[in-house]
Amino acid sequence: MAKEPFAKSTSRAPTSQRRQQVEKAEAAAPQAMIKVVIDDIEVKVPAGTTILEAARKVNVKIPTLCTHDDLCLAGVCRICVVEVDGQKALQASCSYPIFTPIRVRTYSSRVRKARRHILQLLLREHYGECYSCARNNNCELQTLAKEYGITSYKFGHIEKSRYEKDTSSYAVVRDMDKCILCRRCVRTCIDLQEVGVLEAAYRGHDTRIVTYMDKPLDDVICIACGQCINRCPTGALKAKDPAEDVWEVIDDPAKHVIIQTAPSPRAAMGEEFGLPPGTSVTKKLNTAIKRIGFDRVFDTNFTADLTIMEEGTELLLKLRRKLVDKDKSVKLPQFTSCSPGWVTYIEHFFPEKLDHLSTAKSPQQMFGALVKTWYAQRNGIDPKNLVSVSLMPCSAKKLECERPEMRDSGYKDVDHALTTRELAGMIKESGIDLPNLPDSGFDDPLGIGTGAGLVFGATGGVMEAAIRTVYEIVTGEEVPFDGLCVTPVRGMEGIRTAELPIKKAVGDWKFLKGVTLKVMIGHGTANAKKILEMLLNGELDDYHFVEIMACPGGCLGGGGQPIPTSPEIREARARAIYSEDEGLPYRKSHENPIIKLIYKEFLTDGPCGHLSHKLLHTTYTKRGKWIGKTAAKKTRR
Amino acid sequence: MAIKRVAGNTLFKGREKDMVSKETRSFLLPLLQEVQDRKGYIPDRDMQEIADRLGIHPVEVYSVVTFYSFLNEKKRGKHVIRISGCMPGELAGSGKLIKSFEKALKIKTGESTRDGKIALEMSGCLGMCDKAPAVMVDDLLVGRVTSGTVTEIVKCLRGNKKLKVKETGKRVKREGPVIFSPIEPCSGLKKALENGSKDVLTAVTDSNLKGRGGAGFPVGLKWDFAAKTGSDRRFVVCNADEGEPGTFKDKVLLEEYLSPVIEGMVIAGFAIGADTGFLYLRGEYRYMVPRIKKELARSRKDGILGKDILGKKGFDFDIELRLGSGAYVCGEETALIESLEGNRGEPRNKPPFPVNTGYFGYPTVVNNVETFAAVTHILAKGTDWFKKTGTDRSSGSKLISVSGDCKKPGVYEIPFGTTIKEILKIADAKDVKAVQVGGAAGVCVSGKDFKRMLAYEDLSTGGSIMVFGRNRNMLDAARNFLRFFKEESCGQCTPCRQGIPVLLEGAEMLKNGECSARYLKDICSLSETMRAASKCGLGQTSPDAFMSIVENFPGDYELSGKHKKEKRFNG
Repeated sequence: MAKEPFAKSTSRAPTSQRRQQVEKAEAAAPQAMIKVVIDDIEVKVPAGTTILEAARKVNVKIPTLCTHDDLCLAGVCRICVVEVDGQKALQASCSYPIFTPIRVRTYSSRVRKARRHILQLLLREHYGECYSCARNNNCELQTLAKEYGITSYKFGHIEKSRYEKDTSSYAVVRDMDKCILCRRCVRTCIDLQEVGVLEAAYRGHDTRIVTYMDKPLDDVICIACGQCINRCPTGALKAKDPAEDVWEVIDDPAKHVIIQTAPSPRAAMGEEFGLPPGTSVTKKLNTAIKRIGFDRVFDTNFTADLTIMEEGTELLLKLRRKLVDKDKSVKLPQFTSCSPGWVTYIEHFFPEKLDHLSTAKSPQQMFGALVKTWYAQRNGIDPKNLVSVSLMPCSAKKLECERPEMRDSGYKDVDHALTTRELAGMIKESGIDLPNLPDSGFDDPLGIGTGAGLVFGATGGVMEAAIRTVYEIVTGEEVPFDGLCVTPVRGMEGIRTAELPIKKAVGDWKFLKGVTLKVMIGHGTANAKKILEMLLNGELDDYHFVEIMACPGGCLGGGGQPIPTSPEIREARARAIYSEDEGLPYRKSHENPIIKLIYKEFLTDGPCGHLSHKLLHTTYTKRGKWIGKTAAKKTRR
Repeated sequence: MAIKRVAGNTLFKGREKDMVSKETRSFLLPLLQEVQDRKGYIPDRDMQEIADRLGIHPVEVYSVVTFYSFLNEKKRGKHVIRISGCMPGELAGSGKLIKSFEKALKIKTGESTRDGKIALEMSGCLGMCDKAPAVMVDDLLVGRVTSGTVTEIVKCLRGNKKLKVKETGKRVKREGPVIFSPIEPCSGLKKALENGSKDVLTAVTDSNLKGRGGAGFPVGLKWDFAAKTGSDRRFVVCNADEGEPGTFKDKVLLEEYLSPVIEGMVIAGFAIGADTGFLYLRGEYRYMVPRIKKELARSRKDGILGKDILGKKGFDFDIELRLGSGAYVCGEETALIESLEGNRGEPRNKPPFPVNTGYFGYPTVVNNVETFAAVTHILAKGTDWFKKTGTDRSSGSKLISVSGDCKKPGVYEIPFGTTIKEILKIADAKDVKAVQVGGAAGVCVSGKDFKRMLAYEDLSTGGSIMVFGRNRNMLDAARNFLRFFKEESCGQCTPCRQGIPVLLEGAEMLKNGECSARYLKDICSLSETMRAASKCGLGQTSPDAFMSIVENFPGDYELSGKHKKEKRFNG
């Protein structure tokens, strides 16, 4: 039956959709199952199952637009209407719970007409042509229009654009001309992510989706997680595409263009080329990238490993200060800082808790800082002519690389952050058939990453990688898990906890003997909020390390990943990542030979040393949640 | 600290304790109304402060502010003149009225004067259709507005003087056998308390009382459902959001017969086991607030509200007055509950119904003002007495409000089963072309059907009866209703939000003789979809008036010979 929703609809569900969540079907005894006849197919379902769910069970396809597997229901688009015997009006199958035996028809003439009408009405004010749209060929409205034989605009079609595109944000572009008011973005932003940027405003025919006071996205508190993009059925929301700029530097022979690829896009890129979710294409992707014309392709896993070294050392040092030196100013638990959406979130919503955040940069930015220093020096390249591009699953990475503090190399550390979708576009534009390419490896020297760096892509991954390394540093032994798989931290539950008793400790870390390491993992900023509230209530005092990712599922569910997304798709991507990890020669960050090399050759004063602090660590800003002029007045006070 | 500066200290005062409860968000609308009253608009800072205080996002506050027409996020004139754009007003010449206001103020409708003193706006029905054309000046309703009144209003507002104009002319009212019949105070409630809640449910069920808002759901059944639902709390809501164009019958009850209404709510609370009732009053009737508050206070003093009501140990019930802010759709029961909770008034998915999952998820009974009044009479005088009036399937009487082309517009109590013809006679209407029964969401009846009667089994109405004289073009009425719906749809579901403008455009085309028979067929087919696929009653009934006018008055429009393909428009 239906999967548990990722984040249960809380009291903060968007207006008008509160408590409209159909009661979850409970696993009833077989005799308590209710008989439903859908288009003459009989099926028995537990009470409370919706018609839509029942229909999916027997492979009857009912079109949907506002419904999304990750979100609470809305029942607003009405495309899923069906005929229920005995009911005068058509019923929205997504929101009709079955409590008594019913007979449903999903394609009566009335239903077919209604669906066509609804599509005609939506298309009437859907401005713009398909061929100039980022979602061409991957648009739910377009698909339905084709399926329902819409060949003309029966009720007219809008000729002029009504809204200016909002391109103010570094990450997310809003094109309200294409909005069909399904409100998935609203539910994503308020319910799933609890950021609250978008909501429906005005009423009647004037209804539209707005930001607070209709301000540009840049002026309100958007964490750029891009989850709304992943759930938008049309092209009303998209990421800001830097492909043009990247092409320009690739075409410029004076520029040395390198790209780092993060693990999550590699586990999802195949979906853009028709491969089933969960197909890893890492090595084929390397070939494609080189064919496109990038000079070098490197592995972000390398700096993920470096992150573990830095963040892990930071944690151990904090633990020492707290437990040995009894330094009360040390704030534990330490929060991870790899997810730029999460970093922005805490800066805005819980600025008073910023001292819990690790100062380590994210892998993307560590990479950028090293490419324009160490790599440039070693290869005799003028950093001026070095263009650093990243392939990320993430729209917030676009925002992150624009942050003024991310210029520690003396240059912009990462010049362009491409999302999975955008690089897929570049590959397609080059006429490359990715699934049928030969394999090739990463380039030296930044091309070696471990399995620990790789699992960063899934929620719990940073924690798993950290545990593999920290445990071994402290105890001198491998983690006590079969095949190094730290299974307690894996999974898709919104908030998870795990405990790891340290029975033995060696060297500098003897003080940790007998300590039980307590960790927590959260993904999706709605869960981050819950965790921070627990922190405020003092419930996390005995925790040591907390991993938080802004996106549901972690990076593999990022806002730059292929569309669509669903719990099943994210699970498939996670499986791909974990199985790739098991096949790698190095699976612990500290065993990465290049990590050893860089601490020997470049970062000579070791993890959290002086140069590390300059290049690999950063600072945060207490931003607060006030918007516009109010914010200015608040800070002045 | 922050709160003090923004909302002047009083906004949150005394409410701190309530503010932490589960129902915190329900304070949103009252808070916004308070700021709106004090400042004339809701500034950016206040929106953010309120959001912070209620633990919601600023955009959610903004979304609510923009939904309700009495709340503004932008500064505008200190005084607001709202002209009723409703159909009877149009029949009485509101078009001219708009022009004379615009001339006197030297602004267009929707604008404010340069000195920031006066704003001119259009509004939906003000519940003054018997005294059309009407305007609302700040809180005050003014009827039968003439060009003389216009000058006086503008003069008073400009000179900061108290408005002297009053509603002109007495209301015509005909008292009937049930609702307006004499009743001894508390007799209904006393009987209810004596006999126990089960008996009340039986009595209400036996009386065959149906919802007086227009939908006609059996009241006994509704209460029974709510009483049977397992829950520790239940709520009673009185729907006084009388927004249907041409309806002003609840206004009379609220003004002159409030105690039976309050008593009815208490009886409902007793029957279903609720301890809290809400009286949701439409924003247009806010001038009644002091009067209603006084009446509630008096009831508390008399022991009708409060703890251990009329000495009945353990039965506590109190009523809270809540104000709407100018949204027609909030008359839909689930939208009303959303509004009470501090949300946009957007109807919910049904099932589950409010009797199961209502106000903050608790079982909630929502009934019309008139329904509660009827309950009190039924309890006091017995079901048999009540069933003597009306037809077999529609017991009792109905309050109707007659407006438009007739000599005696007003509120009448008539027994169910009264024909249109009889009503027209009572209201002294001659030479009638059409009667719109049930307001904008109702149907338009032509002469051949005047023998039809008002009853749930024939023509059902919440009370609105609009009369159209011989020389009226009914397409104008259709356009007026559709314009109204275009404004007042909540904008949530596709068929209603997008369908209404298509119908309106079609009506314009018909009016101009540009609509082909084929396109007319297309939009009629679309109307069928809107009826079947819209989420709530508003959407489902929005095409009814247009459809019945197209059907019943083919003489009022001419079809074009040519079929225009794919009409293009500029949003």
